[in-house]
Amino acid sequence: MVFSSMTFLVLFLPIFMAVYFAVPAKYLNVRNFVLLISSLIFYAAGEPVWVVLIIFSSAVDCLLGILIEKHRGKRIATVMLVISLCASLGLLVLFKYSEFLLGIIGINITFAPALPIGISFYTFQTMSYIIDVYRGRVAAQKSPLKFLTYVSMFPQLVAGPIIAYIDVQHMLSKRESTLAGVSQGVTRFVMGLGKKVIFANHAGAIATQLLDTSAATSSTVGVWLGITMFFFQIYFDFSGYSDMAIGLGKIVGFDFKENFHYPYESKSITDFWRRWHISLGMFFRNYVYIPLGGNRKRQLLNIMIIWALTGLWHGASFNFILWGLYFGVILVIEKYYLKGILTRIHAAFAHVYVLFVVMFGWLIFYFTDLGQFLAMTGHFFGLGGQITDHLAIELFLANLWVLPIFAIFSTQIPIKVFNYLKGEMPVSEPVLNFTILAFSFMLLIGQSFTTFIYFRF
Amino acid sequence: MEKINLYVFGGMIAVLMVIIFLLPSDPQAEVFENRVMQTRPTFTIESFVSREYFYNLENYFLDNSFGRTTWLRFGDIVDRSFGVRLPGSMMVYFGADDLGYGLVPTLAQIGGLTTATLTTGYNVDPNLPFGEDSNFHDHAVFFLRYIEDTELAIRYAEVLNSFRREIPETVRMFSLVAPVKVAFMGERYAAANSSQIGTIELINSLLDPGIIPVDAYHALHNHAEEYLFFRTDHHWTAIGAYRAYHAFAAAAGIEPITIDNYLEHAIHGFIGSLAIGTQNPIVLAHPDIIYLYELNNGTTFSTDLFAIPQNLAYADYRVFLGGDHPRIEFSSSNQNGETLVVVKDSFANPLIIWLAPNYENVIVVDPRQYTGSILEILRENYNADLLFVNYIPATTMRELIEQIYGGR
Repeated sequence: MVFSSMTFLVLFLPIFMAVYFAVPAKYLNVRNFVLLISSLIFYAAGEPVWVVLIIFSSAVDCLLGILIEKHRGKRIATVMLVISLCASLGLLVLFKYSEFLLGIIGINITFAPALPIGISFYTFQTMSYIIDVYRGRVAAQKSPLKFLTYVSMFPQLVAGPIIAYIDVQHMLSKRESTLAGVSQGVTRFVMGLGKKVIFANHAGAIATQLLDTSAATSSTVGVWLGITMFFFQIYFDFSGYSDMAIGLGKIVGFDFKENFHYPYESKSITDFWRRWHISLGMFFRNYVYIPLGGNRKRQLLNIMIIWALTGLWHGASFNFILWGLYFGVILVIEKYYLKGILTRIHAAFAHVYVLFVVMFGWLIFYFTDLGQFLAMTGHFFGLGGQITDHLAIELFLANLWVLPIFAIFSTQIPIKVFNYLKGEMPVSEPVLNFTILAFSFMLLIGQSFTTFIYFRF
Repeated sequence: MEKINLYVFGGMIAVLMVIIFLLPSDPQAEVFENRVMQTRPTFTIESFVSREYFYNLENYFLDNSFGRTTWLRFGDIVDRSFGVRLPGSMMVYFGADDLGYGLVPTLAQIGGLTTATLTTGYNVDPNLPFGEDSNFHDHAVFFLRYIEDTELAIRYAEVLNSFRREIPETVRMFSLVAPVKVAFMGERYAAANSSQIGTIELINSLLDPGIIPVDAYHALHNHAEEYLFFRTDHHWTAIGAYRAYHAFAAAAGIEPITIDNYLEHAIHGFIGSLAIGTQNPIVLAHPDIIYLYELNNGTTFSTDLFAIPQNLAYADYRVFLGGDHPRIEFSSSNQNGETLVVVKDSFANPLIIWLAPNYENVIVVDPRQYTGSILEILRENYNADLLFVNYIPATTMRELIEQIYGGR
């Protein structure tokens, strides 16, 4: 089930909110139970078989967490940690990477079950929990109900953000849904819905027309416009989903950390990666980079490992690994050579540099077929033999007014204007929500069904 | 103000619930979209596990929402404002191109199911503006884009070869890859598309010598001035299929029954799959005509070959054989003992109507839906002619190709 579906908006959400808020706030365990059952139903609607996997995997990690805490400091705790990590990574490898890895050694098999939705997100959550219990950063969760609620919480289950247990542990036992909090959550949810339905779907429709085409008929203008549209699509799609997740979390009393902070405003790639998919970056930093030695030893190698893994996390394909390594190399270059230059030059040049690097990054990200990628890269750099084509010009002219709007909505300007208006005229918040909802609902019925890009990962 | 914010949100969700659950569905939607709307799915363990239940439930909500056509029109306006034309592989061009398709009569001229004299194909209404200076919308051209996938085209040939290896040697096997309209639309459009004849020749070159290729491409190409394809739909017309039938007859060494043995009927007002998405009022005012050809030489069939809905406004491409079914079996009064087995997609439907009188028995299998074994059918009918018919985009669709392979 996706947040922008009718099934979610007219069936799941109203029933969930009615039942959840019918339970008095003092019975938090009952509310947790409602949240858990609802989350499992939410998940089962899209993943009817593999819902069993999430329950089983959580039960195992809950038990191992308790045992690790009990034997903390002893060798047995390390054994438990290794078992847990092997189980979580094993599931990921089995479902996500087995075909790819066997393909590398020349064994071509088709692994029938599709990748369970959200597995890349929830396995990372359980791993963060187990590692933190092992390190003594958090106490083991003794209640399987609370632990399963944490792992399966529907707002962030299928497409993140990756919520570290340490960040929500207290909220599982003590939280409240205040009027102000629920109102903020609703506004955040509505904004995310608008980003997805109004912006992302349209950017995506144009990107597909221009990029899912033969390189022989494409052109430089076509590839640039296509990848620019993908650049906006992936931002509005993914950050919109994170907004909805954070908003829904807020409605039920959870404060999830931000996952995006206007990444397209960055002035360096280092800055960009502090603002894009923040929860994934934090996971790799805390649970891989620092344990590997971080800045203290073999830093260069550590950076490249992290970025290869970041790429691989996005999918079992060489283009994702290449995409990760590409950013790894850029970050190293920035660290050793460009850092000073980027702070000295005019901000506009730094922005152009970031946008170009990120744009080319999305080109690597988009094409899983190497031949298609190389051909489109030729067009990207004007070496494809065709500067423009009929379709590209037509779509470019039709989108001349759309591109600046997308650009503005990728920055902090709209939210600053909104906050100013809200301060001056509080009624602007419900008016804005009404407008976005009305527009989104009409489009949702009037558009064909679309899923979120990040469901693939 | 926070309370008002929550009331607005709750109120909007409630309005949406009323639109979806309480108000009647839009009676125009079915005609508007030219398809059958999703019915309320029944919950079963099987449908739940296969994910069909929630998928169909979502479509049920959307298809049966109050005022759906209004929302679709709104979506179309927004799509246009954002410069979006049509999703996926469909493209629509508005240009001052005649392309030989001409303009078909307006809705005002709809006369229902009429028996017409034999014509060469399409009508041009001389009263409508025509030519470079006219309103460009009058020349809306719709077509499916064709972008080849060589790897999958090779796989398609391999799949056909795998059938050849396993069916009885006595079965004559044919392959007909149906071209789509854009192949015959001239140079301007060729540049944005792959060469269809290139793909067809590649496939034919890889076929087992025991498979006879049917050259529908050139048969259509030689009659490109005729009403071979619908203007608003991605399929060919009965006339397009007739030209392909001649190509099959030449390949199979049979005498084709010529069109002068048929009575022509016309259903006006058909808006096809490609134009539905636009809902352009001028397009809606210039729909296609579905021509049907009824055999008039005394041959009869054990089933109706045409499915004409009572309300002709509902008539669409499914008038041919009643659309796609997992398996259809019928016989003709031509008792020559010959059997034809067709493994096909929807392009075959009007073609089968032309082919049928040449055979005593006809078995039609759609591998997208059929769950039985096609090889088994051939073992039982070891003297049959086996014909594979797929439109050329099928050779770029991995899932479909594997469905054909899996249907063995």
